[in-house]
Amino acid sequence: MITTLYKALTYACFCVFVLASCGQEPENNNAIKNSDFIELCNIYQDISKSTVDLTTKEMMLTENVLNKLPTLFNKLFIHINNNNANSRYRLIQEYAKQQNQLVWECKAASHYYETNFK
Amino acid sequence: MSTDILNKLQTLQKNSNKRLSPVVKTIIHDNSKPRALVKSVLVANGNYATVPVKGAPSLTTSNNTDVNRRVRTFTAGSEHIVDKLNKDLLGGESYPILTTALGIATGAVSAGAGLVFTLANTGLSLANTASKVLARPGDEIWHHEKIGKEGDKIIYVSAFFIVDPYRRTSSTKGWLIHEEREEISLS
Repeated sequence: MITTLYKALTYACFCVFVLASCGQEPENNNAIKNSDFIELCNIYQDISKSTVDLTTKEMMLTENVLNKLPTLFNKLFIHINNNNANSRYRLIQEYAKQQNQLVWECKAASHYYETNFK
Repeated sequence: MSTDILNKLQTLQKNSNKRLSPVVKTIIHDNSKPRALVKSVLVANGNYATVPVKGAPSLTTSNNTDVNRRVRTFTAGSEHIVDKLNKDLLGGESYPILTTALGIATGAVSAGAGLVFTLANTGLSLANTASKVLARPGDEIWHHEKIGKEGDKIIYVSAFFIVDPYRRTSSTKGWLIHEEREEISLS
């Protein structure tokens, strides 16, 4: 009787363990890393030094983010690039705070959007 | 509210599936204000929703569902940009020819509606009339934005056309080169 009860209890524990394992969130390898936001700022710094016209700058910016930070490009940049230029810096900050709990400050990006657009 | 809006919107024709790369799209769109009718807003879990700039009730007015504007003219000195665009256009795609009757050259909003809605009046099928197109100095890029419906979904359409301003009176003068669609969220 005690053996049967012990077996049933062991089985129940095993089931609970399996179910709990199934419910766990898989590790998200597709998330934007904090280091990506640092690299993003570096890209803005490089673009800001360039003396080409705005259209070429925007093309270089998009190309660099797409090639160097593909995850950030697909999850964030492609969306903010559809919004008005004067809101893009704030939108990057908003995303960094919501998804990475990161206060993102990048003078080069802020200056880029303040000075290059009408 | 959603039903009222749906009843006022026109049914969209099939998606042309003409797509330029995201990098080349930055060449042809208005860098300061890429979209006039909608904006992307951050919602839960890092996702974005497409919402009307002036709010859901605005969609009952045609002014808020249809915008047609010239966004770029390829002037002398922009050859490197034209080259980049043409490389993308040569990527194996062919592009449909549209007619003057659709009104893109004049920018007439009501006529422009035909660009992404039914082409029954023109007798022209986007699928059946294809031609290679390349941009040249002097050409213009026109951006046509429209909000319509597909079944019970409210859809935003962003379509770009190459227009040759010197052939405005010709029967063929506008080429669709890029189209993208997104479902609009009203909540």
